[in-house]
Amino acid sequence: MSALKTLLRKEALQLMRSRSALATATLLPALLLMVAPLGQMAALLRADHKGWETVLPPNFRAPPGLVGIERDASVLLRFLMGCLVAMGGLVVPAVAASYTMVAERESRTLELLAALPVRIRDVLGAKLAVIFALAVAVTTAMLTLDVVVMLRLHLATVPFVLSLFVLLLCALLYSTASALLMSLLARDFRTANQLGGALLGPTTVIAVVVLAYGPPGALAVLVLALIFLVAAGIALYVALRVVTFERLLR
Amino acid sequence: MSDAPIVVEALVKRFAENAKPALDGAQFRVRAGHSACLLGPNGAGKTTLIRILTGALAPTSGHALLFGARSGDPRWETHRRRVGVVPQLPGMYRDLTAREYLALVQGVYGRGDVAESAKRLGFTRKLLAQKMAELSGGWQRRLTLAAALLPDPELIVLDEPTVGLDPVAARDVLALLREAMKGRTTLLCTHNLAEAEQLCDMVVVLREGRVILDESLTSLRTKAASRVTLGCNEGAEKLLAFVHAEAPNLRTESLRWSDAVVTAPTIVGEHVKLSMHHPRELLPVLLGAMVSHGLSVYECTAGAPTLEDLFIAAVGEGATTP
Repeated sequence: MSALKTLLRKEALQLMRSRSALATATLLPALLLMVAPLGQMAALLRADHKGWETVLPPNFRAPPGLVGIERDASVLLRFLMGCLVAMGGLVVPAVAASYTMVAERESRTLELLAALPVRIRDVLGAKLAVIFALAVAVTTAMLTLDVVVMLRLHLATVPFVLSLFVLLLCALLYSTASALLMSLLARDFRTANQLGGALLGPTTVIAVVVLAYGPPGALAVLVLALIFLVAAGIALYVALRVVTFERLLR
Repeated sequence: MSDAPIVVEALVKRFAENAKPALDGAQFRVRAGHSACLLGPNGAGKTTLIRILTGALAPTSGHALLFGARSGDPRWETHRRRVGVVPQLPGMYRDLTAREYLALVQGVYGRGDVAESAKRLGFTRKLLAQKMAELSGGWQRRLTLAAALLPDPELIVLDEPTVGLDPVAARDVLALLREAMKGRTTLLCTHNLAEAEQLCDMVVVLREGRVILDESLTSLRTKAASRVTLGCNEGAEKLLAFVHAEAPNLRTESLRWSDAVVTAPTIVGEHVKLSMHHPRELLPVLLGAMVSHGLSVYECTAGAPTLEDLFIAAVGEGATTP
């Protein structure tokens, strides 16, 4: 326990000192979870009509997740919020992990840790725990701001905003677990970034499809959260079965 | 004997299923209080062996026991904390100071005094406040040594502790090592035979993953031939001609010259050199013959074989890089 605490302290110290990791952890979510949603809300406030019946094609049939968009433009905001929260949750741990884990591998400082009586699970666990904590703190604060504005402007219901928090948490879990897998596969930043991109692209498409074609409202968000949770469990299970110092020291 | 600090039994390590094994049935033990040097040509499996011993790699088969416990044994983690390790040329953190790194080591082992360990290795406050990656090569090596010694381990494992250092820094680290090894069991993996000779009392030579030599230096020296150097004012060529012509006929009551000589005499600079057994008995006879032959002998010495001689004898001339 004392070894794990020490490793957690080390990771926290290093993460706080890593400008690139901190910049990534705040700038990208700021764009996805603050600039984009608040911009959408501001646009909605300025709009002089509630729906989009004038701009949509006459025979437009909205998918289940966008039903009612022709009468109420806030439907699009809620749909976008689901997508943005999913992406915000996915991007932060994955990128922060590539900074901390791949850096350790690339700079051969992992050799220093391998020389100590610590288990590789503790080393990686401490890294992921710190990344997860940072990501939760940053993204939850940003989402809270969005949610307060949405509720004040009556753009969403309480169950819907709660489902957004659940989605964020599950996306962060999935991203953190997949970051662990990435750390086993990527030897350098370039590979880590490529793998991160390769993972983020399809996941975003899945998120959009589920939110657009899944059940309406908060339920679709919860279905997506469940998908992320299951994927996180699988990624974590696979990673823990194969993670060894040997794999990382190669 | 199962509680010897290091016991390696039929250790095999393959990095891929059909690959040539990095370790192929390696077997040796280091008893408490002994200092063993692990030698071998490049690719012999030394670092792999050390990584298995410290738990960073898992063996394919066989065992590497620390104080009688193998990796995976519930006691192993406790015993692992009795070991300090100096890894081979590790990377250095750019964002941690030397003091923070030592504090990390202290936290992981759950014991040790950062200030005392740092002081013992010569770290000043200024050096301790420097980022690890900004320290010079010599100080980085001292830092890894300070980290290995911080928990006051019973066993220290050193993987090439002076490789890549300039001669002055290497000498300093060597002096610190000599001090640190007192009263501790040590496994030293090194390329430097002179260093091994100064620090160790036992030699383990690995070749192609197998232990081809596991013996104490004293015993090896007793078995090995001595290096004999001869010199006279008449010149090396005349001396060589004399040795070739007269020495084969020399004998004592129980020994014959031709049975004792291991390598034939050759000219090296102004001297004639050869290696032989029983120099104490046969050299006085040779010296007497040289003098009575009218040669003005100014040198007739027999030196103990160096570790290099022993290593070459064990591994062969083709593999002189341990």
